[in-house]
Amino acid sequence: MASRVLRAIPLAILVFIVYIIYTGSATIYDIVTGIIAAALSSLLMANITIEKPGKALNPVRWGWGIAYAIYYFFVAEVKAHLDVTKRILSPSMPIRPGIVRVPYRVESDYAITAVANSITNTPGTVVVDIDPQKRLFYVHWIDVASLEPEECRKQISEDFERFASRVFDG
Amino acid sequence: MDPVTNWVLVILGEILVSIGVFFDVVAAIGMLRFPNFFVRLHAATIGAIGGAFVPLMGVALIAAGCDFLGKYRWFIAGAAAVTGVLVLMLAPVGSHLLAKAAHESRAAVVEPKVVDFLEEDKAKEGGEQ
Amino acid sequence: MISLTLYYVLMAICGLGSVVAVFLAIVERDMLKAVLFSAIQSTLYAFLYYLLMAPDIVLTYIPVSVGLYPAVILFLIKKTERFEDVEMKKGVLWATGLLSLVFVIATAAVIAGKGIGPVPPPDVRFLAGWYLATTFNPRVHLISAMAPEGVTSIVWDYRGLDTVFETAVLFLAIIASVALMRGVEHKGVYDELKHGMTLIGKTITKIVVPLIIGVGISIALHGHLTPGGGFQGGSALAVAPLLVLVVFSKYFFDKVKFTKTKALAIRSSGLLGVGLTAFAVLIAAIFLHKPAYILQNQPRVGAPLGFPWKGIDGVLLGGSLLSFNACEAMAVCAGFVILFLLLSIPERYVRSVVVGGEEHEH
Repeated sequence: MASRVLRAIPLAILVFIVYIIYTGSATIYDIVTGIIAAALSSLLMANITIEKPGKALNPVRWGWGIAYAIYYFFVAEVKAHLDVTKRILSPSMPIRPGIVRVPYRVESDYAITAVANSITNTPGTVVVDIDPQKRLFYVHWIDVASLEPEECRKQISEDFERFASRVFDG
Repeated sequence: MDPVTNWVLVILGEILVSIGVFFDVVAAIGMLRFPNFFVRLHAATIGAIGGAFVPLMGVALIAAGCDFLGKYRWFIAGAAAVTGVLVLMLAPVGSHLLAKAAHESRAAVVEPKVVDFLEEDKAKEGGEQ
Repeated sequence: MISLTLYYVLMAICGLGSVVAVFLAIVERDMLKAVLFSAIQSTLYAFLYYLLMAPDIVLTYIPVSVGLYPAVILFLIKKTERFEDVEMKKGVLWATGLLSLVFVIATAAVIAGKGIGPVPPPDVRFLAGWYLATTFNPRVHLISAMAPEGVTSIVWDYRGLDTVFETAVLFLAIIASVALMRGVEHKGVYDELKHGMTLIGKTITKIVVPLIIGVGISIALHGHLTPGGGFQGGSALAVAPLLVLVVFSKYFFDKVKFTKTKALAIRSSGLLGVGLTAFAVLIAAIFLHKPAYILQNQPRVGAPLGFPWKGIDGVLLGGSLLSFNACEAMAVCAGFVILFLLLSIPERYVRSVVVGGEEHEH
């Protein structure tokens, strides 16, 4: 039970923040009901969602998370959006689609998911399947530049992995 | 809040919404022009991130800058922000699972293509069994 | 005055147009075109309802008769024949047209003769004005619901009895489905690699489910302040177990030992809460020897007891609405969970249990 409560703490903080932002006000009523809601949902889900509560409360990881977000929104997304927009609008529509293998080296479930979602969320690459045994993503790429798995990793996911491993792994 | 901050928030928000409109149009054109389901998913991604997440954040900023809404502006801004974050987290999962299902059931053909390693690997595994 | 004339002209155009559309739908031999004409008629009707100031009917009319109904018909046409073989006789055609015309003239005559009473004026009507004036009004506390959200006040206070009965009907429906599926217990061992969707889907679901629960509770507990309420919050809450069911598979519920019986316990306590809230003021009044009503929220003339509507720091508590919403959310969410769990049992298994039982009796 103690470990369950410990695990619930980071989740409860997250739920409470989302509760207050979603509600859009912070009167005493909202704070009291928010604490109730956070306690209920986090205790219910703690053993499913959180494995190591210490990781979620580590400020260094949060710093890397913010760096990840800044890189992701202002560099990766912008580049990918402009690239695919050019392909859509250009009259000749230069696409060379195909599904390539992209190996990953991150460890935890959350890191793998963060990398996979970053890949899918950038236009031009979609994770079609994942093979946890071979540690491979199968990525549908709008412009296949290489068939070599390592080369694909360098072009598609290396930067995401560098951030994700610092946020979630270890 | 003072009027200058409000104006900055509203104008920033309107810029984000305009970006959203642009990417929505681009995504719609892409949906029509792209040759098959898998390539269209990339256009759908543009619609989900550039065309939904970005303008939702813009709506949150506009609402936060609209003094005349009173306390309700935080209600709108908060709902828009949370929705945006949920879209950011859920849209890629949807795309991924749709792509996987389409590939597995062969409901959509990966054609034209340069290469389909997933198909090759599946065929190999099938051969081994 | 011009606007009112325009209003009636638009209504007349809609009415006549829909008659023409129905006529064309009947005489058309190409089924696809007939469906199209029927959809045009539905659209005109929807607009007519809008003009008659029944937006709630418009909201249900458009998806059902413009979207769902043609879709079902089109689906049927796809399965059968697109063109009618039998040619309609000229006489029948004329008769249909003539009947339509007679119908239009007769309806017009009835309306013109004030047959359906006065047409409602296009402004805020008395009843709506009454609700607006009394939903939250401390100056007339004895006739006010004292909660700023009008819809929730109407649902749980003005017409509270109706809503309690609705809750009871839904509860009976779920009890009936539980009774139908009695004895059908289907359990399995959850295998992370074999069951459910990919790792990506599962990990995101793990994060999103607590957030959905938080948002659902927020919707339920703010029902008396902003749009939302018990049923809406409960429905949002029910999405969480549904996601787990689809993404992780049914057997995950067996692994975390969440059973139908537990859901039924939550549902029953939610319903008990609704019942207790309905009688709370009356019970208190019996002990204090004062008159009171069933489902009483705020003090009324001759019945001085009521729920508190204002907490510390001027926070609005919404009287009985808050308690109703919280309990209703519990009941609705748990009810949906029971249905999901029942529906996720494979049909083959259910049949084997049901048929096996019958054979045993013979």
